[in-house]
Amino acid sequence: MRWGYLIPRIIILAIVWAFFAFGFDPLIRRGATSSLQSITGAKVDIADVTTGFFPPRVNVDQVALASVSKPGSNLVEFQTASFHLAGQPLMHRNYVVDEATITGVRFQTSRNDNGQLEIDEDSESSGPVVPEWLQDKVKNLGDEWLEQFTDQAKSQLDPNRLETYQVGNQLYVKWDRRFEEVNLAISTTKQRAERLQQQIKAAKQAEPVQQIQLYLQIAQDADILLKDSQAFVTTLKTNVPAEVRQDFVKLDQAQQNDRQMVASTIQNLKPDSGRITESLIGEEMYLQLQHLLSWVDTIQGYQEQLKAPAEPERSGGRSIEFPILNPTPKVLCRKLLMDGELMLGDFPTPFRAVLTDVTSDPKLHGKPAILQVQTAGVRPVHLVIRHDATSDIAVTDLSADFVDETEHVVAAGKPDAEQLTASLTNLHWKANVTLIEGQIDGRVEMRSDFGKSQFQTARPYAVSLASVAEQTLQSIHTVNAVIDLKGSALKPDVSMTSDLGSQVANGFQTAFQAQLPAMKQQALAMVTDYAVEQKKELSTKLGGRYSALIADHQQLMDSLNSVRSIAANFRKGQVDPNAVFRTVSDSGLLKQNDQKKADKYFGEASKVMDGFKNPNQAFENALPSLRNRLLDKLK
Amino acid sequence: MLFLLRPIRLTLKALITQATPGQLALGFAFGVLIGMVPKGNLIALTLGIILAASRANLAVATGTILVVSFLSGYLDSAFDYVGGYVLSHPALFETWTNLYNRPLAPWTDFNNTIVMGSLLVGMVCLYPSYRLSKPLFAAYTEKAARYAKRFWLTRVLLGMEVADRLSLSE
Repeated sequence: MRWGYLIPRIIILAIVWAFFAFGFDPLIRRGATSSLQSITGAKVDIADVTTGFFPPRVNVDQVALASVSKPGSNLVEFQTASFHLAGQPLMHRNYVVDEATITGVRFQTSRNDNGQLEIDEDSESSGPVVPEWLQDKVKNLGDEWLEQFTDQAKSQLDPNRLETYQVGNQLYVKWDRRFEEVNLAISTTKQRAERLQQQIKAAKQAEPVQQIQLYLQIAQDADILLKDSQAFVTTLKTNVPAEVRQDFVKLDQAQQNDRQMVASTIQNLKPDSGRITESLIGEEMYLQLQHLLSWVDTIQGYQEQLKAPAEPERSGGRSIEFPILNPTPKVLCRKLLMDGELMLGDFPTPFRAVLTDVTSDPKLHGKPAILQVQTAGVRPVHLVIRHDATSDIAVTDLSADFVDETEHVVAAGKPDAEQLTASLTNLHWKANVTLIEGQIDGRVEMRSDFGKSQFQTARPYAVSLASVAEQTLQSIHTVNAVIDLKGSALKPDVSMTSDLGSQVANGFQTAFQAQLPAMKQQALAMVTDYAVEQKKELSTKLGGRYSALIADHQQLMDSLNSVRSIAANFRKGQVDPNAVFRTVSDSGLLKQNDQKKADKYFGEASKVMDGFKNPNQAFENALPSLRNRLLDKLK
Repeated sequence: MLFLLRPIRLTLKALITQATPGQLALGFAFGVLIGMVPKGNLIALTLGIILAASRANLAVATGTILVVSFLSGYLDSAFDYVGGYVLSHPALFETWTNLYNRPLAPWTDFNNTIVMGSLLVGMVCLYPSYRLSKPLFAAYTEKAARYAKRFWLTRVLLGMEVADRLSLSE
């Protein structure tokens, strides 16, 4: 009976012991693996978990968290992690880690498998996630300032931008139009003169009476045309020379303006210092900023995960929270020590980090979480992130101090056109950023040595300029740059200022100043030559066309004079009037009374005319009537 | 072969055979109680320890726990109501607060309405389960033993001693 009681109890005890001895740790390992996989979304390997109860502790060995974005590599791995839990809070179901140590931390290490939970063929290997606003910033970094600058130099010698050239062209266009108008007027007058000549020819072959009408009409038209032509040529001879003189004055004025403009523009030529700064060191600065912000994201993300509620065992039911006399956060890590290697650029760098006061209930704990990271090697970094969620509004402060002694080559422009290259060494970064409820406010400062500046150009007109610019750039020894951040943390307003831009701009300006006399001389000579050429060309063109017009006009006048002489002959009577009267009388165009009168006068005229031909006969024919008239008079 | 079977035989013998109707009924009553209470808290563990420490029949208790655990999910709303009523009763507030501030108390999950409700209902059912099941075990144990004796596997595993004991009990 005694054994019957004892054996089952001993068996139960044995099972419980066996569970804790052999089953509990694997169960914890499995649970931890599953939890971490659900957080990272990729495979998590934990070689061993060892727990102890007196005092409570957890040791984890050989942990590797695969990267979901980079198959085949680990997000992070570490050799050992040791957590010492406080006993008293654990009795109240609060997980308080008095001190934790994680050793052998390494980031971005390679794995034997791809580390993905489900093979996603669409997934691509990608680098660190760069936010959209930063991508836009980097994309918009303008290298074109250098090209623009040399183009500006070139444009000083470009005739198209000279006022002389523009005015000259305007005059060409204007006088072309004017001459076309004059040509058209002369052509119209010529046509009218030709028509008159044709009318004269036609009139010669017409009947005498019709000839009278035609000649009268032709004479009238010829007079009008002559007057018009004379008026036109008077206008042409008077106005054109005056207007040409005015235009030449305009051309002279444009030349004067060009001379002044060339002198002042060359003197004020200076590239945009802001664009120079962005194109030379913008990418470097923005990427460092992104690295800093990723640290803030990380610590904020951990905070959110700690707050996430645990899944209830059975659905339904409520847990009623009773007042706690000595409240302690549910989860609290008082101190976590880490060491290992992290990648700074392409270099594995040893680091040590201390994370303190990470808790699920910062208000209750009353202390901010602080992460301090210190690296060794050629790139010592001192990073402090302070996340204070002890009040209603969480405030995250980031402070970083980073020295990079390696040489960074910066370049602006294109190798096949203009390119400015230089090296930055001993970069000293300082950052102070504050995040409050999605709003960011901060400043990133960079100080560096500047050297090995070279300015290469493939454009012949800029070679001498490049040489002088390079000499002046060599006087720049240090660079200071500042990025100011403000606004939304998702898309902050970023403004970058640096003395590098103004130093380079000054260097270029100095180079220009050195080149200025020669350039000025060249430009002014060009303006003068160009103005003279314009005037000469205009004179030649206008003079030639003017002479042609006058010649044309002379020809016209000649033809008009021939018409006029015909009309003059007509007036002098050098036509057969008898034939003219006869023709008119016989034409049937006169009215009845007029016809009678015409017949009468024609008869008398015929008599007179006949008398001229045979006076005796005419006298005899006229005697009867003469006698009667004399008798009448005597009576 | 006998050497290998002996420990199993002794275990099963201890678990199953050496039991009176009272022990079987006690196992059943504990099984009802533990089966009702959600697992994974200190209350369930404590009840398990009490069960192990008692002279209750563990085989019956284990079987009952499995069956009642399966069924208790359907009674959660009732447990929630009872637990909620008790936990939110003003007169008991101070008691619960004091209890909650005791070491290990939060591990019991007693402040959960279903845990508290199922515990109370289970405790209420404890004695009735014992009283009602005891005559039944008294009446049907011998018949069950006779029935089990027919199976070759039972005879082999439990050994002839079991069969003899069962025969003697007849």
